[in-house]
Amino acid sequence: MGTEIDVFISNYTLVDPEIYQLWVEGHTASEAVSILNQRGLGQLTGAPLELIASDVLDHYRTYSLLEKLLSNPNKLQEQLAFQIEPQTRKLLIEKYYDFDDSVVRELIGKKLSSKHRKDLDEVSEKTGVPLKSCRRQFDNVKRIYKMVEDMPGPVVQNIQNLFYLPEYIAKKYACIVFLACIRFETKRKLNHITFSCWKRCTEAIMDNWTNKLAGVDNFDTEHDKDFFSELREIKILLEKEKEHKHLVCVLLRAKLLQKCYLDLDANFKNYNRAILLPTTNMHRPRDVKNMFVELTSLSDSLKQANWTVPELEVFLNAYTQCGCEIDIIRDSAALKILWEKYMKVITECLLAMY
Amino acid sequence: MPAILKVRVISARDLPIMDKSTESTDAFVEVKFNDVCFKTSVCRKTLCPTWNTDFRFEVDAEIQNDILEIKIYDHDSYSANDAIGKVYIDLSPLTMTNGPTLLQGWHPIYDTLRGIRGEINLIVKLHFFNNENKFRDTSIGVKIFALNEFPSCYSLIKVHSFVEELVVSTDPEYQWVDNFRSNRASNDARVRLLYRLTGSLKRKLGLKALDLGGNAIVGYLQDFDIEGEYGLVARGIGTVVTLQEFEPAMASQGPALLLFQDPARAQCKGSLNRSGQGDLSVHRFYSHHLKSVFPFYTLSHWPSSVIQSIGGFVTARSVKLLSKIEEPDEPETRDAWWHEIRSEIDSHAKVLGCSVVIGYTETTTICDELCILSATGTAANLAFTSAKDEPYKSPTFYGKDKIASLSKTVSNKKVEYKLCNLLGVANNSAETVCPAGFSHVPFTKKDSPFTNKPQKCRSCQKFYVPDILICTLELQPGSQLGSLLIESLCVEASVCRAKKKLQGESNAIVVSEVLPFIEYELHRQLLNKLKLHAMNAIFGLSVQISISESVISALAVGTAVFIKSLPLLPPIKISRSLQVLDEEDQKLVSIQKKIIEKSGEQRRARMESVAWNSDSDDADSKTDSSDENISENIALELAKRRSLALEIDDEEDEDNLAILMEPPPLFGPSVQFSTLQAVPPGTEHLSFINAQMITSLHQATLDESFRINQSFSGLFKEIKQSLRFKLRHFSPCCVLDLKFDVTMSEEEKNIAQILTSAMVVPSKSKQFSEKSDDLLFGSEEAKSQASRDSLKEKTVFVEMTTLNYVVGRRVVRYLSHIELFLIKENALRETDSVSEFIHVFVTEVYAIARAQVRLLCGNAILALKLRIIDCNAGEGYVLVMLSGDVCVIS
Repeated sequence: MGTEIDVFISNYTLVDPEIYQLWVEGHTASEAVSILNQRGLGQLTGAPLELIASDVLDHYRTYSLLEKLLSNPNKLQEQLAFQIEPQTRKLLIEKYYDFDDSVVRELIGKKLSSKHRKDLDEVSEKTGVPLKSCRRQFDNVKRIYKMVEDMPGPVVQNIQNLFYLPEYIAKKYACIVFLACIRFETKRKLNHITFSCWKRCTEAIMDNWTNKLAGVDNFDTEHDKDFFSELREIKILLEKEKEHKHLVCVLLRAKLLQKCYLDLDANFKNYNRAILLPTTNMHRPRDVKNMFVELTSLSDSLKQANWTVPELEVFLNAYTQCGCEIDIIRDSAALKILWEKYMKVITECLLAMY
Repeated sequence: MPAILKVRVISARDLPIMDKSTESTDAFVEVKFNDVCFKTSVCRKTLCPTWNTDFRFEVDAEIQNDILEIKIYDHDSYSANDAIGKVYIDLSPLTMTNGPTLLQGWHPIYDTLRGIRGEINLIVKLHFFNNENKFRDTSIGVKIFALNEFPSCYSLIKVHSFVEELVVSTDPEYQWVDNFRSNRASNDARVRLLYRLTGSLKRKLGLKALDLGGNAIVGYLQDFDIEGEYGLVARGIGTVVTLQEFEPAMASQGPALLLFQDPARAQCKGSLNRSGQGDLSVHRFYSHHLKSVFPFYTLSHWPSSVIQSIGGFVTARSVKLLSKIEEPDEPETRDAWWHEIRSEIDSHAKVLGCSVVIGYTETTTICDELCILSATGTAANLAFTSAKDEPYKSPTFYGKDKIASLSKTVSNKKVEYKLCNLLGVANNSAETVCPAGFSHVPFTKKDSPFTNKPQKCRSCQKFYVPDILICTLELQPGSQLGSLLIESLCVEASVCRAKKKLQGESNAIVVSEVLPFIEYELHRQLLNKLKLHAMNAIFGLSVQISISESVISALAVGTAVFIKSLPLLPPIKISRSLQVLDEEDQKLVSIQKKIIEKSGEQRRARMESVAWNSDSDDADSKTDSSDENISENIALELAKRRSLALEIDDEEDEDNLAILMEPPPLFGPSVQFSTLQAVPPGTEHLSFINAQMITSLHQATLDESFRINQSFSGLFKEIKQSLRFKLRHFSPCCVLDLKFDVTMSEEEKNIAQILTSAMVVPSKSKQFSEKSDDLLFGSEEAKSQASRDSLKEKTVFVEMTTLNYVVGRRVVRYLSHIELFLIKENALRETDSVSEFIHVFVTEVYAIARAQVRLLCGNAILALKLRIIDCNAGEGYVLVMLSGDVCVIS
């Protein structure tokens, strides 16, 4: 134990965004010193390495004391040990709860148990993110999940209120929470899907297929069960395949490239079936989980046929539009809404995954 | 004074888990005052218990002496209850007239071993009946301020005099029971004792103040001497004044207030008005000194119109050997020691022709049985005292003392501080007013007893001024003197000498013999620095001596300024008789060259600026002649006193030379240091929004070699450099009220511990604010937006400052002076970092201080002082005192 002491404390807690970022990223103090030095701090100020180290250590000590409070940002407001100005507090919380998409992608679909926490070194190795940072991200995800899992009201707002997070971060967490609640299959064949893609898909589902629309008190982390059971009625479209194909082809002949058009013409049956498959089994929770597996096989076959994203979008829009024109749907307002609701999500998901 | 004390224990939150199996706590609270103890029921299995229990105490005189203790326990059916932590509530704020009527709020629960463990919500009320008995032994209602200026919000009716008090006790840490009680119990005993001593100290001082007819004590300084096995001494000094609140409506609020004001009103002869800008102007002051009372004032801020002349820095030191205090109730030896020192200071002031000492402080340093008592101040003549009243006393020295212990006082002002002398105050005031009035010395050339002749004042050409002015005082912002200042610069002088390890009297003799040399060295360094930077006065000087078994160190820190009315000092001259032998010598020679160059440069620059300023006063001829005068004088002085040239004859001189040069500044940050509270002259565009207090603690091992002096002075350069770097985001900024508190200790090697406190005030500069990070230290708009945001929120920040004012804000009401005592004891393992231990502790101390401010419904602490009373960082033991004035600011 050294007798050397070097402590610097100020009445309002000083947060150096650069050093804080390094701390959040899980760098050790000595790593941080050399990184800062490489970035030219020493050259810029003429400060020797020891001085930078002393400063970094001051900040690191403060941050590790703050960490306890950051796990419950509400406490950050009440406590007296650190006087933190609002904008500094915002910075502290935002950066602490921000995460690497690659790390979080690894966490999706896994159980957030303490056993898994021990396996984080694998994640760290795979993503190249320091273990400490992986742990922080894991803990943050777990903490937020536990807090809002059973909470009534919109998830995003709950997260924002409880953790004082800005909307864009809260939305990201909402997506993780949703995936964990619904337990979609996310592994194996779906490993290649990135977090931002998942985010797009889940947001579409949350906006359209959950109880969110039913009222404020309901969960938006649960599927709208009525919707899923009603969905079976859309199955009829499978029988109307020819009519549907005709309408789509008429509409798209001029819009699509020859190559795609030919592919569509040849494979419409397969595509149609793939798109409509979820309608047949979504009332069974087990099959809901596999929805993305099914969608991904469709997107794979489209990829093989060299479709481009804009082309796919044109096709899906036309497909949706033409569906509405088929008499059964055209005649029933309820079915029309159902169909549009369904296709909105499928379109978004397919485009995201593509 | 009988009173009813009501305590309501409401609830607690965030308690620690005391029972691992249930992951909860069965908490109950014990409320104790003056050995009467009550308990709440046990609130089972919760970390956020609610009790809502009321207690009532009927108390008498002990209200000022004792402290309310609230102790939180975890109930255990089978074994002893586990302590969770404690809260100490000082009741004195409740006894203040017009003070808060109740204390209410959340307070951190603190344990000396584990730190802060949750918070408790309390309401404390006090109803007391006024006792106007002449023979009362309480001094309730006497306000105490740590401020070393007259508090705003009050009109000053009268300045009475200096008061001192001293209370002695045995230290629980050294009692025999300490051998078998737990660390926690012994820490609690010590903290309780400190609170009680403080209480009785304040009570006694208050009684003295009442006797003098005053109703408040300003410039209150309290300190503790940890004399180890010999005991524990609490000392308090202050200045008794009579204050009156501004609002006339206040009179109806309590009879006590009227009682205290009546005698004062009868004698009221003048008042101190505070005009728009907060500039004090004094119409008339009257003061009377009781026979036994020293004409000292602990205040260091004085309206410049009150100060007629400054004699200079005076100091007295005395080396004593501690012995067991036989009768704690009658601490005669300690009283006698301080009496000696004060008499000596008094006589020094008389020699300098001054009737009072202002900016007066007392300090001690203790190492085992050896104790050095020091008193410092600035001799001066004030407009409200008449020097004629005081018969001239010949100086008395206490070189050979008959008391059991050895005593030697060191008088240094005569040898070193070549300043002014004798009377002449009366006719001074009759003449036309010179803006540099207070720097005049009240004597003529031939009267001066010093070799260094005073010169004509360069502002009025009538009176004489000293060649340098050194004092402990503050500079008043906006005073007339301000216009005479150019630049300011923090200068420090440090001496560190190895000494033999000795015991008893021989040790005392060695120390007392070395002290004059150390003082001389300090003075020489300061003088050289003044010359180096072409300055001619030092304000806000503080000198601190610290001693360990084998080292004695001294540090003088002050702010050098250039006063236009004072002459320019001769340039630095270095003569080297030592041969240049090795590389290090060559380095020193190059330093030497640099020093001479710099000195010349600065001097030329100063000459120019002075001349320029004189031109604008259309007094060309005057400038010329005075410049000639100066060069004449230089020649004269150099011939006379070769001692003023820096002679390099041996290694030690080399060592000293190296100290003179500051390290090269960091490129980016521009940080200006000052020991004064006022913003230094020449600094503009200050942004007050990010102003804040900083505290830092350094502990380092000193180099064992003969370069120990360099190693010691290097520490301060390092600290300043480190502050410069750490404040880079504030840059450019001023660091005000820079204070160093040095403690020397020894564990195999010599260790110096330095507690630094200061206020940072960023000065805004467009160029810089654009560069800096927008998130934190962004543009002015962002900052003001932020402060507005913070206003909206329910959490109101507690402003803590070592200054007498909060930068950019106004004091609405003073609530109370508070003291906090906290111990942290944590057996550190090999892997633990001491820095972390200290960091956590200081954070906790501030958290508790903020909680206390909130309890009082205040939002700021002024004149905050954090002092480490006892520390053994290596073993994880720290005892600190935090004191300050709680107030409401707008």
